[in-house]
Amino acid sequence: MPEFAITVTIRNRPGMADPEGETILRDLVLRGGGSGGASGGIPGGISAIRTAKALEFRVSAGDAAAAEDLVRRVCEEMRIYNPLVSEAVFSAGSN
Amino acid sequence: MRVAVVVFPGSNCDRDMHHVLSEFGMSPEYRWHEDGIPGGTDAVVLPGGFSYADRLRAGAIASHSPVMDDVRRLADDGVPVLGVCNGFQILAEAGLLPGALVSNDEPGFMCRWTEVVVGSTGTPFTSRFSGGDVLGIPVANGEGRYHADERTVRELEDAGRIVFRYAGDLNGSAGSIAGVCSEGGNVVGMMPHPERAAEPDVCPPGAAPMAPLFESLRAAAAA
Repeated sequence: MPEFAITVTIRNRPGMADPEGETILRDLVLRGGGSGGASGGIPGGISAIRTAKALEFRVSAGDAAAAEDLVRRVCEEMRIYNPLVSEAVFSAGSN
Repeated sequence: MRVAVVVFPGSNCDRDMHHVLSEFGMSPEYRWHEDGIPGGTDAVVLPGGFSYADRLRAGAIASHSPVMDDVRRLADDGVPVLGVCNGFQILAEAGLLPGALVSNDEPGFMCRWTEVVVGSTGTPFTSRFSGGDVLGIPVANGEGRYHADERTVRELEDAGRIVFRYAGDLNGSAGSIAGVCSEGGNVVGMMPHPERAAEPDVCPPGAAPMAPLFESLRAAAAA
């Protein structure tokens, strides 16, 4: 059976504060990397940063859809993410 | 009174809790999380610490430990269960208490004394307090911001299930909630550490603000 890499991205549900993302945006990115930094000044157009945790499952399965289904089920049954505060995005890629 | 102090890999407030329970005349017993809780146990405490190094998220892995089947059964039977800090996170993850504990609004670890206001005195851990008492207590956590949607917070308020609130906005917690209880009142979770505020030697001069919590538990056993 082929092996698939299923990535689960766990991030806060919309509306949940993301203090880490806010700090990265406010205290690093919008400061342009400090005086004389390589980025050369304050970048424009960036309005938000959301942090997330990514888990990569390596799964042997008949096809990518079956691998993703299995990972989705495991994540729900084992509460790999807490649906009260987080959402999970599943994406498949073969290796 | 036999009190089980559950020890998970990464618990680090278990000995403090054991010490204080002893000082207040109870008989604490360590229970490894892979073992059961024996019959005749009068109360259960899930102490603070970093179970499984907070991997995945605080309390998530420990909430699936074998001991949690017994904790759930005892909770259903009305036995007093207290979760402090990581213990509260575990109880919330296990669904024994409502809501979730997420990262503080100031990222990083917060370790300081603060003040809480006593809410419900209808639990086995708070009967010796007076509602509205403002008391000093330390907090030490990175994921201590209580989250529940507005409706849940309102329901908890209406049902008298908010046990402690911060005296101000400490960390962004919904409703400034520091501790809640189960519908039956016998399961209590709180982020601040009562075991670090129950003896004058470790508190600001002349105070032992959380002594009544342990006196309440001892009285609950005698009742």
